[in-house]
Amino acid sequence: MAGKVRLNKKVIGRILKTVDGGKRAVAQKILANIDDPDARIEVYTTDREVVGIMVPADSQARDGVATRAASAAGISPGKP
Amino acid sequence: MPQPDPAAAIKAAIEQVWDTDHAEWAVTLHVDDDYRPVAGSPVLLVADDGGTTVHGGAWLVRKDMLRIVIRLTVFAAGRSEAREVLDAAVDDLVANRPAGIRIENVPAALETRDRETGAFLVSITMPVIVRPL
Repeated sequence: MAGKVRLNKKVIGRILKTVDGGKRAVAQKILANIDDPDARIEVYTTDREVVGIMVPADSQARDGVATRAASAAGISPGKP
Repeated sequence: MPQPDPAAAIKAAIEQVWDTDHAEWAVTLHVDDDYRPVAGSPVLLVADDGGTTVHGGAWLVRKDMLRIVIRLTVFAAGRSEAREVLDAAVDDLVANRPAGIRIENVPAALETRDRETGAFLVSITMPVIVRPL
């Protein structure tokens, strides 16, 4: 029998908060597909670091600006 | 062999229920530029925001599954009306799901107001998996 595995949650948390892992590059790629001067990238931290793409809410609802840009970059939004 | 058109299939499925249950509600694949909200006549937009293939390759030409995002946006004159229509649309779609379409998630709704028309918009982007029939 294998011994007990204990996750070092503190270290995992630190990794999620500090390691980029290509997030910024992908966000730049998606942002390049958006033709809207109000679109921008916002970096914030929840239990991990998040690189978000912000667009006006009505552009997303009416035209799907953000979801379409993500699809064009080969990212399927909603589910990783 | 026709190309899969999941947005049209979803529109037809919702329309089928609404024709009898909510005759005053409309389902559409595109909203006109000169659209103006009218109380009591909300419009549901079904849009295909694209996505990626799940399994690809020449051996699966026209048979590979797609993971796409379907956007459901309700255009209405009021907020509660918009929310009510969206809830009904999701319920009716899940109950009357077209063949070959798997709904992966129904996320929380985005609520906003259209700067151009003043319509209340309530929108969700559903990841779906489409299997060509």
